[in-house]
Amino acid sequence: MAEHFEIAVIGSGPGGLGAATNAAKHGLSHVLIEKAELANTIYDYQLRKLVMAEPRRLPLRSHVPFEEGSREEVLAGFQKAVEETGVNYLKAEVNKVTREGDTFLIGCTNGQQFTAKHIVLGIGTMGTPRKLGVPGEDLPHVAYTLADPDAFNGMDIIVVGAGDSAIENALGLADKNSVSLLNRSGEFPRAKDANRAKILEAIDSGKVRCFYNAAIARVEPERAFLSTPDGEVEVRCNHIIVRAGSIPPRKFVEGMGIKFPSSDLNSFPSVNDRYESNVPNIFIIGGLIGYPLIKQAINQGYEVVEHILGNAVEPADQVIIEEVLGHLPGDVNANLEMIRKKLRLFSELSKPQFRELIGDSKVHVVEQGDVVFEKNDYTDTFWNVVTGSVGVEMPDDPNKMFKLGPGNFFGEMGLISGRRRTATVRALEKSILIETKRNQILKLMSSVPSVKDAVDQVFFLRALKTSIFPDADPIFLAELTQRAERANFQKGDALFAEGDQGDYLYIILKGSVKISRKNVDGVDVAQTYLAAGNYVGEMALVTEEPRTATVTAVVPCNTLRIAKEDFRDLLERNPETRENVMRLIAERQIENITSARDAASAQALNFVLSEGVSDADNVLLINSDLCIGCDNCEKACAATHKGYSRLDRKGGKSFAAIQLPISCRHCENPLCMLDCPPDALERKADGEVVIKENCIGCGNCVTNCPYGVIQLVYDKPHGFDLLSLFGKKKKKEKGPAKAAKCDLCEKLESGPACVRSCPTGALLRVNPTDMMRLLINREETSIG
Amino acid sequence: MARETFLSYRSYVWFWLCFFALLAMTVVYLLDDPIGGKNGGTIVGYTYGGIATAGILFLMWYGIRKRAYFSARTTLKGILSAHVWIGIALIFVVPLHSGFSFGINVHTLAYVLMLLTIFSGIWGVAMYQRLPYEIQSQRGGGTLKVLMEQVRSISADINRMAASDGGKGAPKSDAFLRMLQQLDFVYQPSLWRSLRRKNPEPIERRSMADSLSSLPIEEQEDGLKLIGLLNKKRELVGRAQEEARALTWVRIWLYLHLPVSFGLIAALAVHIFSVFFYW
Repeated sequence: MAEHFEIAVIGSGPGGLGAATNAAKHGLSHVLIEKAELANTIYDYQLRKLVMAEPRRLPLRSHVPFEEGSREEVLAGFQKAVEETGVNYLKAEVNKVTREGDTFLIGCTNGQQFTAKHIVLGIGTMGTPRKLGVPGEDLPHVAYTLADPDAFNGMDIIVVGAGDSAIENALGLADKNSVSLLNRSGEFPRAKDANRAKILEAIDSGKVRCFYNAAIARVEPERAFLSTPDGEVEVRCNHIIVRAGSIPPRKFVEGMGIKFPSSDLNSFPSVNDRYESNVPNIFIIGGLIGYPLIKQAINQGYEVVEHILGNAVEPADQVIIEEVLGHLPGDVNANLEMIRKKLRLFSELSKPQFRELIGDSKVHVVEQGDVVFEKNDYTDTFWNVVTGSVGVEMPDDPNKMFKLGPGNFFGEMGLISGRRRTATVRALEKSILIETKRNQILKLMSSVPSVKDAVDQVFFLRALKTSIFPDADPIFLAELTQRAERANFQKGDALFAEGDQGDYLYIILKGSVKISRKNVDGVDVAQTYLAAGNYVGEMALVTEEPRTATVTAVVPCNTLRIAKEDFRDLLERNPETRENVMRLIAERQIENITSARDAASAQALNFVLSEGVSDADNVLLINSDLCIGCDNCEKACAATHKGYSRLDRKGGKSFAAIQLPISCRHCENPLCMLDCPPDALERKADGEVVIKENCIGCGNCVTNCPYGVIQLVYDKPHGFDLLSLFGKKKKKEKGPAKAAKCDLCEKLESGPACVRSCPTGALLRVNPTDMMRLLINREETSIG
Repeated sequence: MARETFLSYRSYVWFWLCFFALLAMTVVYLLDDPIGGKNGGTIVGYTYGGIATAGILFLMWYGIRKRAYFSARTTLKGILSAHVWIGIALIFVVPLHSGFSFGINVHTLAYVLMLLTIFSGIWGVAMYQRLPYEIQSQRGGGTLKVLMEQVRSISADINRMAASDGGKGAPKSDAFLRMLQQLDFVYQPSLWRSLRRKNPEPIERRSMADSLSSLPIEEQEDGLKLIGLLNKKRELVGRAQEEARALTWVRIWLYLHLPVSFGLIAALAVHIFSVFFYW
């Protein structure tokens, strides 16, 4: 007979610990099951890494101690809490959960079985590292993480994998060890460009030995046998690090009957106010439902046990809600309920989701005539009208406005396309508005389908209205929106090719495209590029002519497309709109007749477009015809940024006299911002993307940036250290390594120090439009 | 790409400023008729001496400004433009100051040191114009170090070819090794090599043909490969030398321009001190 528990907690991360310690305190029969180490994600951190306690404002409510400290301190605290509260801790891997009546049967890989009335799932999103699956994989010198590269010296090490973590580990170890990298394929397709370039260089120079199309056949102490295209090879090795990715936990979770809202890999299973999933008595907390921060998870663990016991518990984030809503008249909780009722968009959110949304928002009380945001601002927050109303100025005529009343939202353009604000918005009367961070809404869109649908619908409608049909009849637009469909393109994909039969009109929602035509020799010559907010292929809608140009995505693009038949059909039924649209298209056709580019400027254009420059807001550019390599730019950057240069003059790519050194481009769609647990990356109104002080040094942005411009660094001590001359190094800096990158010298009124410190004026910081002007028209500039 | 240099900065604004200032100073100089003849001790002489001293101090300040990275009002390019044009103008200001009287004394020494500084500066300007085209490795987004690494790896490839095909094939024939000995060279970078205007030349077609034809048939293919590698090595070494040469000259120039300018300051101090106390 399997042992029975009131609560089985699966996963001993912060959430699981919060739950298990509270269950233990309440004297409930419970078990905490962990397949690896206690708090494994933190355990895998680099040695002595500082663990931050974000969000600072959120109080901790738990029997588990947690405050900012080193990895070792945090883990010791967790261990002590487990011992002191008497948690029933068990090391095993759960592989099957089945329901039997009103209990669950939990099966483990080692054959152990339990039954439990409630399950608390706190397994995070990391999944299980993929194992070697060969004899000897359990030998002690086979590891799945690398906590401290400095701990290895003069060893023979094999790194398995071809992703970013494998490459970074191999490079980190190669200075002091003899490293072999094992790549299952013949290339490094999953790695970031910067990492790929680095590893290929290291392989070429012999620093790292790479076995392509190879795998480990078996492992023995001190050596491993590889199966390679040339047959089996024996390699000496003292250590093996396997970075072959991980198996995401989704399948395991779905196996219990828990539903995910969409097939989107970023979506989280939904839970109700008590963290209960769609399967009664299975509760989910922490990273798996989209709360990646340690403190949030610990609190949820505590709360979930109170919910199971049926105790009323005030959410820990009440102080934050009070902070956000405090300045409104009346009771905070009543106001929260009022807002929840008014905002139809969020009607399907669970209570914790809605509270988090409000906690991450700002409530504004605005007077009539106040400007909410201006056209061309770079802000990307999302706005909801709670009471009152606002007017959105139409782009072609500022006197025309469309009015948005309570329950409506705006600012969705910035949300989806990442572009500047397309219109100015003013309050038409005294109103209460809620401003929410972009990441928060994006997270909701991927986990709550109703939010995504509603935002998409309105976004499509407004995109059609502002980009092509400003005067169209609303009913016509609504119908068109119904028929329009999303089409996404990867970098380098063609939307259509010259000579094709025209079938669709495309509105570019996100990203940018290159337009090219064949010259007399049949060579494709880049003509220009179009950024998000523009449309291409409109001729197809009215003529029967084949396409006159090729349109290619230069960065990943999202578009909205309308089929020719749909469009014509609708026009037939709306004669007035038809006239307007035809005139507009005729104007565009005339505009389109431009002179062909000469070969040199077309090549230059091709180069910068292929480097993704059109998706940047501000690019650092070196004119190699002027650069004397004095490095004063890097010195200036280091001197103005805590001793560390955020630009690598020698790096990056170059073409003819243009060099794009490694430095932040302040992208329109900053990938770095996508996955920042404390939301430390921020886009300023002028467009620059900056990293704030609350960075926890997790490195997600470093991995996500495709241009390799972010690095984790320690602040260097100010001034000259005399002792260093005598070999005495200062003690290692306290504090975590934090993400650092170009901030466009936002604190210097005069702009980027690197540009101002170039003695020959070789350095420029330009936006893509200016850059095109430079390349295509060869205009002289005198910046600075 | 735009090519406004520090010389043509803002349509040569500093050139024109200096030009008109010199013109004005020359006119005043010609109109001036002091008692005792034109010399450094007249009102105009003192004024021009003051102007020249201020100019020299401004030029020296460049070294500080270059490192003032928080500086907000000006760009370094603009300051360098002023540095160059004002420096050149000083060549003419000092004779106007002294009334064209020179001799073998500490006063003229200061002038000579100033001329040395300025002419070395002009040499530097010329170098700054040429340097971007000489730093070739930069164009590929690399560095001299990367270039040297390429040379090293290609040398290793060549050595591997000589060493019996990685241990698999038969040892190479004597003819092959002789060919290698004739055409290969060990590249040791040195200061002397960096300065000498001599790069390895591509292998002559004739000696290529001679060497190739001396090889046994089965080594012909490897021989061709070897020639390819050797030529590549020569080309890379040539580029590396070109760049090393450019960088070496910049360094030499700095070692000249700076000490001379400090010598000038010392001589200038003695000049001012002596004219006020001993003249």
